[in-house]
Amino acid sequence: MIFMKDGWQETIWGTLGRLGLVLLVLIVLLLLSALPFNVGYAVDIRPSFVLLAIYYWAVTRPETLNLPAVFFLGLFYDLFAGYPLGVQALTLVLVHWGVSTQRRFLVAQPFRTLWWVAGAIVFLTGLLQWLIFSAFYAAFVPLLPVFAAAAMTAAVFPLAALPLSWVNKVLADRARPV
Amino acid sequence: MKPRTPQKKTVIESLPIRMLTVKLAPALFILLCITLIAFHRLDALPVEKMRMLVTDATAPVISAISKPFNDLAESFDGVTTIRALKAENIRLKEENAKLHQWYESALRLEAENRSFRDLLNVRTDPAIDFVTTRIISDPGGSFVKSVLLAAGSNDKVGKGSAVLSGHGLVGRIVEAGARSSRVLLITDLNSRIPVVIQDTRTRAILAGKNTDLLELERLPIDSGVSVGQRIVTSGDSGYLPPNIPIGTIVEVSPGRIIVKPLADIEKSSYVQVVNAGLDAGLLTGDIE
Repeated sequence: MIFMKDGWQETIWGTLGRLGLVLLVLIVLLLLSALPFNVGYAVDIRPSFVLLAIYYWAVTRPETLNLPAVFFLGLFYDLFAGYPLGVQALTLVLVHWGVSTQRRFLVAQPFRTLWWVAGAIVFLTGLLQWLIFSAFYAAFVPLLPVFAAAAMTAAVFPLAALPLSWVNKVLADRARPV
Repeated sequence: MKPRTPQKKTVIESLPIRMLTVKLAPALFILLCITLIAFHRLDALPVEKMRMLVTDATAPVISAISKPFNDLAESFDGVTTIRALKAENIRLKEENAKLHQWYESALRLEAENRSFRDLLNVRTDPAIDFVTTRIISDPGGSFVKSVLLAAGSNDKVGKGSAVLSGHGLVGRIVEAGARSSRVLLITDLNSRIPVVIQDTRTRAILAGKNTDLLELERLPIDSGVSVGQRIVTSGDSGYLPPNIPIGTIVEVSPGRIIVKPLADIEKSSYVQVVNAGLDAGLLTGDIE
């Protein structure tokens, strides 16, 4: 009985620990992507690493990064970035849900296809956010910087995927039965 | 051939509730997000307080991680050759000599001004004090033009204060936490600043467009604007002190007057937050 109880506790704490690590990485990515770089117009084309990470983990580790966690991370993002509350949450929840439904297909694909899909998602979410912001402010937000940032985000996907795969290795080690 | 036996399901798995939560959870979260956006639009949520909780909690971390980047950006500015330094030195010496002349005449004019004020018994604007602080984060991306500062109400930074960098107005404080504050930049789509054209004293509103340039709105007809005129704050809002330089008119076309900000907003690492105390009584209700 004691053994069973211990085993059960291990699983719960293991799950929470993995989720905690993933959320920590996501928050660090969010804070890093908001650094004031002081390089002229670069402010408009900084890539959204958080979006890429959500996509990557929705494909590779859907059981670790669950929907409620994605929702609360989105709310945190909105509050931190000064966005209308719910915009990033909606975007990230949609990405997570959409990718989860196509996961069986995506997991079997080569990296190049994953990259193309990342590009499509980045542009679609950029367009969605542009629509929400324009409706929220009742004024058209310039679209060009949105697409420039989306192009940048799509371009850096391999760069982002590498450290995320290292995190996956750490998570896999932790997931071994004790 | 042996017929396939259907896999046995446990009691919990066979309940429709599990299937329902799996299928319904995304829809519920999506609905919740849309409701939140709508409630925020209707100002039915204390979003400002929630934002300040988040930025105050993360401020020490982002302040620490942004410091090396600020330093790096500044050291890049400092890297030059000896030859460039010599040329710079000559230019600065010439500028210094010129500024000395200006300084002398400014002192003379200030004395003259003071004596005229005494003669007329004019009540001048209260003295302005300011806090210099570092920009620790620039989180808005393409949609929101705002930055976070490493100073809050503990450093006497209050909501509505003007924020300046070297040459002119950068924005104003829209949220002030205990140790961090959020600046809405003048380039943001929601920024509206009451201004005057310095030469003609014509009043107008300077609107941000989420681009590097600003637009002058609500000008009286036949106000005689021309390229090169300077735009300064009018002080009409009660928050911003009057006569802070903002920009110069760079383009006048029918229905559009474009203003270029004087401050190099994207390249500023440090800013000054001005506490003019113009309507301290109005804000707090204490009238001296």
